Amino acid sequence: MMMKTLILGLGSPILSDDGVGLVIARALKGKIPQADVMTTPLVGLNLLDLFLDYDKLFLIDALVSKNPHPGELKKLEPGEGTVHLFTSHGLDFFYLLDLGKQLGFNLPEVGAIYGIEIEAPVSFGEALSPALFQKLPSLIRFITKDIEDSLQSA
Amino acid sequence: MSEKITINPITRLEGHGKIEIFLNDRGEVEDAYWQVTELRGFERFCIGRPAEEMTRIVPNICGVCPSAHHMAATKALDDLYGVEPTVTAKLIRQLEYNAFYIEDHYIHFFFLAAPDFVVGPDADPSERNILGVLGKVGQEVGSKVIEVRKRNREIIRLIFSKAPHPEGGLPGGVPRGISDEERKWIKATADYSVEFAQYAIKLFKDLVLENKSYLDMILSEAYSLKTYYMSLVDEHNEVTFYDGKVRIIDPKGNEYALFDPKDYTEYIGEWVEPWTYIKLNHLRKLGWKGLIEGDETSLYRVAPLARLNVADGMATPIAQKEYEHMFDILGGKPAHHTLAMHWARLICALQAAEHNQIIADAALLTSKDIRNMHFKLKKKGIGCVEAPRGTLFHHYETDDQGILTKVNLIVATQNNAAPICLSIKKAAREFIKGTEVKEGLLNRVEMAFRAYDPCLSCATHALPGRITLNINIRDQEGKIIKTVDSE
Repeated sequence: MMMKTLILGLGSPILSDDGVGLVIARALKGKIPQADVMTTPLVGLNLLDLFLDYDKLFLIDALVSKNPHPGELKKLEPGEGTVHLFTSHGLDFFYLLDLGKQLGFNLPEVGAIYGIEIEAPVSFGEALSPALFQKLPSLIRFITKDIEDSLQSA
Repeated sequence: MSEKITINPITRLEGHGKIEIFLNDRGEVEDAYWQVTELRGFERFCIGRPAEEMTRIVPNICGVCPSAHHMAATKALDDLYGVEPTVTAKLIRQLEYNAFYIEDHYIHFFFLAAPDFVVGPDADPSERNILGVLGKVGQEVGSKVIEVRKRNREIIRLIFSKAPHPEGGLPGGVPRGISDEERKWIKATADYSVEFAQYAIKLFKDLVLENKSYLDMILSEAYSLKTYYMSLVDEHNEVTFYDGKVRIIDPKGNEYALFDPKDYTEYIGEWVEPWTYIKLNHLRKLGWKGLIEGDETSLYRVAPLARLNVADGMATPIAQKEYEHMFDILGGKPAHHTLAMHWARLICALQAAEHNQIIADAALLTSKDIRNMHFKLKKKGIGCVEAPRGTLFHHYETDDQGILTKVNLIVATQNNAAPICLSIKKAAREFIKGTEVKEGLLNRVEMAFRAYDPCLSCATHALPGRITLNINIRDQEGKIIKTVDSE
């Protein structure tokens, strides 16, 4: 049976660079035919329904670190967080995976978590900052190839 | 491009909660403040846009309760365009809103509140979580919670396209009707939700009320706060979530005000203090009297316990019985016991489920008359709902073309901000004596504010991120003598 793959872009569409994960995910639509692409501003338990019954999951999200280099991409290890993988309402993403597995749900293997560095604080706006916008093509190229390689090696 | 990194939670997000506790020269807690930082500019972001975009924009300011903002915005547009939704549209909106209540309230109870009561307030933090809860009560509880939420989210998805992140709110109506076929599974979902709600309340009674130490904790002075209370009520002064008048009662339970939500500015004042970015709401006509409780206060509280304190009863029969039982145990109305919010939350979820049973049986639910399009732009619109965390107001003003010129939001956590400070102070006074900090201080103090289910994302218009709760304990000279960090 064919593996079901989800590429999930996280972020808010009205918080400028915070939504970089959404922009990149949308750009991947159709580029990797065997993968579904979704975007969401949701956090916590609300995410669970989105990736139930997928076999593999790739996450794209904004990342704020101590000394950010806007547009730099980090492939994160499980347990390392991006902006929207944690929530004030109790359940971070990795905890959610543990819980779902314990409850017997079919949850995906995490293929990769791509964190795109942004500068904090962000402001309200629907466009990315020029610095981040300029780096979009290379980010999309890298993530596309990385996901393709990952799926081929699976 | 690959590198392992460590992220400091303090720099990761703006919605950062911090508690500052000040001791006097005798080592007793003198004051406590809950401080919040803010991401500004939401109103400015909205101004200049067509007002009808608000139902698309506002669900994005909160990754936790988008449905409440969506519904408040939809109702503000009704008012702005001078249009009354059809009876069927109101039924469908309430159906969706009740479904949202059910899914939201169970997240809080099972994932945030239950660990304190089921696993224990002083348990090892690594076990004081939902997995610890499931270890105690059985994994089938977790599956039931996921199932009841999933089924109710299907209702949200059906009506407003996406769940739980709706975007289809329209002035005067709803984007789609309900078919006879859909009515069947909606009814089944409502039946399942009522059954689950009764199960959840029984669980609460068995695990919490049967444990004397927990009941004593709920009734203790450390977790009690005497304030005014505010909530929406229906025409019978019963609990309502979607629509009604705003009622306020005083700390003794007497009605202080009953008004149309459109008049909210006459009653609600917003006070600014230099130590926090969140505005501190109070009763405008009483004036700002500072962070005090009791008969002289001008502070009010919202959220589930406030709803039950304010109303004369529940709007559905089984919930009414639970309401009566709750106040019997708590010693009558109003109940000032902050931790009883968890109990009240479960009763609200029960009413939402029962109400959806009634709606599912309503003949007009499947009518095709789903929208009133007789618009007359009034240039000012105010929408108000009972959000799960309390009364929520959206206020929009436009020019002659319906382009926004003013936006003001009063969100539940803002209503509760000053009382949260006081609740923290009372808990801190109980558990902190000098520099000697009792085991589990962080959690005992957190419990005082977690009961409110505060959501900083929309209260401060901040990023929807994890709140790290840092507690600084300072001596009389302001010097930090101890720091406790939830990370």
